[in-house]
Amino acid sequence: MNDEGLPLDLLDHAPCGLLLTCPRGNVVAANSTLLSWLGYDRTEIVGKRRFSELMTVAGRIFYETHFAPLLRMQGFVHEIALDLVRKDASPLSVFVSANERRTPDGGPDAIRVAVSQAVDRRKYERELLLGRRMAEQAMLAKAEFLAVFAHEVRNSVAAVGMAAELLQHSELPPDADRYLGMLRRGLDKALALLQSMLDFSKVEAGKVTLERRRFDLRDLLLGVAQTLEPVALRKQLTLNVDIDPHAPTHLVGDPIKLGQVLTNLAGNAVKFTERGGVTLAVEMMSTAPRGAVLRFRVIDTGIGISPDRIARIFDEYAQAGPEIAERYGGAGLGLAISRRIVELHGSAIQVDSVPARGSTFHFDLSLPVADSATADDDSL
Amino acid sequence: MDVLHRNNVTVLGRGEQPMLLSHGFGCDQNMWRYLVPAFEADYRLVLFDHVGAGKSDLSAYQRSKYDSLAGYAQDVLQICEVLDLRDVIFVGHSVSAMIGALAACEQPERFAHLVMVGPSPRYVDDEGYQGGFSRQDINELLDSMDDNYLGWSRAMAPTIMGNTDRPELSEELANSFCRTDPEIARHFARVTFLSDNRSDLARVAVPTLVLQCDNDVIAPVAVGEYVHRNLRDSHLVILDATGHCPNLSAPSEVISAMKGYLARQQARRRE
Repeated sequence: MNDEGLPLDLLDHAPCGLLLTCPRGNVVAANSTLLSWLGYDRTEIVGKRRFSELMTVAGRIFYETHFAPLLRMQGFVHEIALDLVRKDASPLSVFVSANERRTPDGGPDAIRVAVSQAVDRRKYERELLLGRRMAEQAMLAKAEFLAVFAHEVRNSVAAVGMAAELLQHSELPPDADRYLGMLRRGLDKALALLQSMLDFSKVEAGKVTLERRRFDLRDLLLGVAQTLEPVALRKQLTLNVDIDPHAPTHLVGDPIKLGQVLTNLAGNAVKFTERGGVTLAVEMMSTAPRGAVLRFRVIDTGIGISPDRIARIFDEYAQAGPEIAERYGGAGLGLAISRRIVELHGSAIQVDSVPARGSTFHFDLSLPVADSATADDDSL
Repeated sequence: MDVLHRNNVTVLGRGEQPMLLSHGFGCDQNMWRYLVPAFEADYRLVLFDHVGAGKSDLSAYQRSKYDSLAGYAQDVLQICEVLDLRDVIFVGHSVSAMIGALAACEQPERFAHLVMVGPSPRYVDDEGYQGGFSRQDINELLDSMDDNYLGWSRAMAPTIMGNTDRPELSEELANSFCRTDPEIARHFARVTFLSDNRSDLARVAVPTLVLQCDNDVIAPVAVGEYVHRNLRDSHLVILDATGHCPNLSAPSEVISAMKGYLARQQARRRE
């Protein structure tokens, strides 16, 4: 036993390497475990070598640029991956943790170092990293493929649409009108799907940027409501637009993408509501120095979403359940696109929902207020 | 674009003359913590994080812009412009010494002095020049960075925790200073360690203090001597400190070398 009552045997033969160095890094003490891992005699290291001299050159650079500064600033470092070099010049992958022993005035007095072997774990982690990189590349490739694919298919579908249009104006046998109607509806649906695929793949490939343009908030919301009015009317739903009177009239942002998000959320609301109505609301939250913080809400009295499904609805190709896709249609891309667009603004879409009672989707945006003197179509 | 936000610029101190402190590879403005108290009474201290490091705006990172040290030098000059800094004392650690040299070549009139802490105009050996590293060493460094960022940075931590919505859960696991985006850090390492600014040294018209550590594997004394020899107007001080970060390991030595040099330069100016 030593003075502190800790068995020396434990320190010397612990299943991890232990080192003590002076603040400049010269090795003052090393336990037998570490010496045997490295193949050195105590006399070859203690008092003769710096800790960093036991590392590969690359490890030494990392030590000097990351490890040492970090240790000095926070007093400890935790699980730094390094390669040591054995006496026979073979590398040894290790994790190193260290802390500073400090004098009463706070200066470093010595550095305590613990070394654990990481050969297997390092191999496993390298595979993980490689796997992750490959998966990310594959995702990107897929998004790019999807963009090209959707673009090509959309062009040919559009050509079929043109032909259908022309047919309508020619002399046709009886019943042809009915078939043409079917053709039209199918084409419209296919085009809408392809458009959302295109939008999504653009967002996914990181090819979407936000424009900065002056726009009229009220015009934008009323415009969104107007596009949904025919469906709401057919389903006998009320459609309200509720704009905070304190909200600025003109803002700077990307009205097309914001309109896309609101159209998508409100479109879903109308789609999933059978009784009651849908409200599109904007509330002024605060005036920050850089602009206004606005809360956009889309409130419905529809079927709602059960708690276990809420987390998934923003994922691409996912809908709240297979029966939803069957009954309501759609590719499940709208919410994924909306989520990405709102994320591009540095915000996130939130959902509150009670099954059979309805859902509220909301998000906050901080947008610069536009000078009302400038012309409406002024590009910034 | 908000330059001050992009580079997380901090302005401290009660003096008039600006002292711009530029951190090196592997760290952020935290590394100046022991120098700040010594200079804040007499200078206007401007600290910042290079894009990709510390609390800089990661979204401002453009690979093409930061594919050479000139992109970083451009940021330094933009900070000077936005804050209207004149007669600047630029203190650059490690790779930032060369970033400062490039900025001073571009706009010499803006700078009063450069202080280079552990500079190296080229890390890789070349014919007739010893930088201290082979190309192979640098490739190994880039690999070892992968290992480390995997081990302790936020690259993997959120994935392992399975909770990207609550990043604070993984924060505690990682080391808390000098955070950096792993991909950017790797690129910065490549740009830093494969840079060659030897021919720029002679273009620097600003008087420069070169501080080199006695035992620094990153920038050996011979490299410091090379820098001193090739600058037009420089003063070399070999510090007794070891390692690459004397501003952390031996701040008092750095402070007295800087104060001594600046006082002498002041006297020289008055003559």
